Amino acid sequence: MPDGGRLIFLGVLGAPYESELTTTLLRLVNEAIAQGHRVAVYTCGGATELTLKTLGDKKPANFLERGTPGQLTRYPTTAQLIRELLEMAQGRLQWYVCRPCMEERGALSQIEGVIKHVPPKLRQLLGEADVALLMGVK
Amino acid sequence: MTPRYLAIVERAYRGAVEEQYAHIIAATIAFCRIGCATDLLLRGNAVLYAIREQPEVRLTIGATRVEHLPHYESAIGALLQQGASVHVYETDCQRLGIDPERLISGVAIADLGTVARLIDSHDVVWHW
Repeated sequence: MPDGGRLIFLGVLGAPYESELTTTLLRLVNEAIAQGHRVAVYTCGGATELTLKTLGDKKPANFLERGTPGQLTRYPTTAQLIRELLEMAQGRLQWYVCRPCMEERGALSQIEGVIKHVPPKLRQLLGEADVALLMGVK
Repeated sequence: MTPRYLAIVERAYRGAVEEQYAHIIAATIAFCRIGCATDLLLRGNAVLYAIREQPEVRLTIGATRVEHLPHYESAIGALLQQGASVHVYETDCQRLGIDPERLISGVAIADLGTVARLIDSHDVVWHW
């Protein structure tokens, strides 16, 4: 990871669709990168599904838009948003996916750029970070 | 006789970025459109969905402007237009300090007795 800024570590244990955890996470990562910091995210449990390749880049069509004139709205997936954060960060964002959690859920197909790792990495990142925040419960 | 459904929504704010358009109020509208007449009862923190003048929040994540995060006020307005009834549980409104005049026009307040009657008068009850 390039030098500069502080290293912010975000450990994410909560699953999507349970609370506003994912929205908060993406806002934090976006803002930290924009301010010149380095960010390491380690996802555990259901959070490993945020970066599923099979989510594609857009959500399924909105049923309520059927029959209305004009193009259907494009709704980005979490995988697409995280892909864009990785591109925007230019190496200042590392997105780790807990390998056992991923395998347990069959979430094997992950987007390019995420790093599959074993849980001791979480402890290592905690030790290296200038700021650490564990988010959500399993 | 066509059955009538009651959707009780209690768990609120479950993933704005994940859901975007596909939140539970939108699903209730969709049920109405396909012929499953569905009324709505909001409990817990979900009573906040029925407040007037909610901001339309947008986010920028990376290079993407997420333009269509849930906006429950307009969704409840659209549900009312489908002919559905929308109730909020009185006790939760009181707990959260929501005065009746802050509610979207057309939303009714339900005390515990009304909740029981709503459940009794519907053929199918969902609890989300």
